Amino acid sequence: MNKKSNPLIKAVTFRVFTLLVLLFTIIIYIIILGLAYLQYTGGIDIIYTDTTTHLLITLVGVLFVIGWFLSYTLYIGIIKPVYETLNIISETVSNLISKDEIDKEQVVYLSEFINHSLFQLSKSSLTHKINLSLITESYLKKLGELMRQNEELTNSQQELSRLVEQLKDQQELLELEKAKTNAIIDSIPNGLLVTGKDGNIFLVNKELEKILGLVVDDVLGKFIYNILPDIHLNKELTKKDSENHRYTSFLDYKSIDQKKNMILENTSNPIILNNDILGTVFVLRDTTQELATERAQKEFVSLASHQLRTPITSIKWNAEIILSNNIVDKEVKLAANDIYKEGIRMEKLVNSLLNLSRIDLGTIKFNIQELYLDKYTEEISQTLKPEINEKNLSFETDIKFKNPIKNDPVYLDIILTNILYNAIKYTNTNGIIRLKADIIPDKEKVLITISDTGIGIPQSQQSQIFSRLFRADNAKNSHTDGNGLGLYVVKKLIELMNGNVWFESQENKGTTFFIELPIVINTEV
Amino acid sequence: MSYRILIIEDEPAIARVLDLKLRQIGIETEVVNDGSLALDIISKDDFDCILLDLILPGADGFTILEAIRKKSKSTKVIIMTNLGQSEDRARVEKLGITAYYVKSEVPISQLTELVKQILMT
Repeated sequence: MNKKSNPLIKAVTFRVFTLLVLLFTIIIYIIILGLAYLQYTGGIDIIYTDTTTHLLITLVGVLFVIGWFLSYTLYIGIIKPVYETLNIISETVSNLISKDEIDKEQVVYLSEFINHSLFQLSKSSLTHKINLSLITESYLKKLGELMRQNEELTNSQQELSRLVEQLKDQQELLELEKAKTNAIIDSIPNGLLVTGKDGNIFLVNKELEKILGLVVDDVLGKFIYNILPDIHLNKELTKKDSENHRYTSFLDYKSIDQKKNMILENTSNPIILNNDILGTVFVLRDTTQELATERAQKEFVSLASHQLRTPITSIKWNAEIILSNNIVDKEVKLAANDIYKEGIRMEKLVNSLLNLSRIDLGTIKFNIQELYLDKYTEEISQTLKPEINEKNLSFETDIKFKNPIKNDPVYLDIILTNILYNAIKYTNTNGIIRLKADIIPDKEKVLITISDTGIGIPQSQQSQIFSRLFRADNAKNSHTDGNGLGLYVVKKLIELMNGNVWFESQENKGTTFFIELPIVINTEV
Repeated sequence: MSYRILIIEDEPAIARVLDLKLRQIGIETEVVNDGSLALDIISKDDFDCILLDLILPGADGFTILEAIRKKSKSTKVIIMTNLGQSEDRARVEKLGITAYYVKSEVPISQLTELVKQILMT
């Protein structure tokens, strides 16, 4: 800023000059008044003794008083307020310039204008000064307005700062939540992969990287078929059928270095939000080792099936040869009979174990055939005839349902033989076994009922009889040869056929088993 | 009338009992313990009935059944196996069999009686 036009220097200089004039006036006035007083009292013989001189001195004194009064009035009434006002303006402008909140250009312009006005003021007449004070007043108003706006802006800025702080806090919380979510996703023991609707991958977890032998950057943004060509994508899903569209499949996957062949189990499910499919979640698991173990187990079951049954057959058949030989001693025959019976027991145990393994491994496949229950149950009762006759039991059948059912003859045989064999085993001599079959109207089901007049199942143990390896106390006491697997296998098989089994029993009165089966069972197990 | 039966069974103890029981009821038998030998015999000779095990050394029962069916659709074939699963039964039933027995589940006396009935029908 030009020094010459600095209003502050000008104002200060003017103020000092005014004070000096005032001081000088006061001193002169005191001197004159003193002299006038001495003249009047006649205490001192002063220079001016005539009346004219006396009046002149008095006039000069009065003029000085008037001059001083005018100077003082000018200073107090005009110069001081203008100076102070301009001082405030200057300070305010300086403050405003130092801040960034308002339009700087506008303020600089205002400052320049005021400076110019001050320069004019310093050399102009009283009229100019009054005009300038009016102009200054109008600009002061504007400045006041600007200051108010500035205050509003400052308030807004404070509000904004508060919001920014809140946002920062929320962002920190979000970052924390995101970190937590990522940690959870990474700790899932299965591989996780998420695609958008377009099939492009946007999320994978650490386990997936491990399974596929890839890093995130190799996968993100890629189309899923480029990573897993055989995977099933829910792309074609419609909104309607997507609700229950979980899909499980097995994929052959060759690791990136082509060294490892893997079998991955994939379960995919669409991501649905407000009836819109956003993409698909894939959960992948390396089942290579698991399937190899399962295969080995299945092979063992198959091997056991053949290898264990073969010596049992040999034992039983050879025992039969001895039993059917007329020249063999009676005691030898008794021994051969025991060998034969133990052979049957072993056979039943092996069959139960094999069925159990098949149920556990889920390898049961039904081979469905048309079966006429009257003929089919007759065949089963024929195979049980030796045991029925041995105990002199009465075996009654009542098959009302004459139409064929569709079921697996092997597994239905296991079900019915198990229950019938139990009925025979746990019914005392001369008891009655009844086998009935009838249709359940409206249900497309057949109800097979097997009842006996046997020892019954104790009330306290009835809830456990379908449990694996469970045998009721009274059964254990009367027969030691049960293995506790029969009814468990029966229940599981009936459930696989979408049927139902239950019983009613009274101790020492008898038991009735109810088997409800669909007339046509489903081949899909 | 005399019937000729071929027993294809690799387990000697079982083959011996079968042979004994069938001969006791007047049936002429021939026993073979190996699948490939059985194929050779089938190609050269005819039988009224063949008792066939499924798990055999040399060639399995499924292969032998296919060979039998290539030669004759009418030869009676009784499967005697310890494979009890439905799918094994379904597989041989497709090729054409007269009966299917799980050996461990049928007493020998009952089995010989069933074979006799099958031969006479």
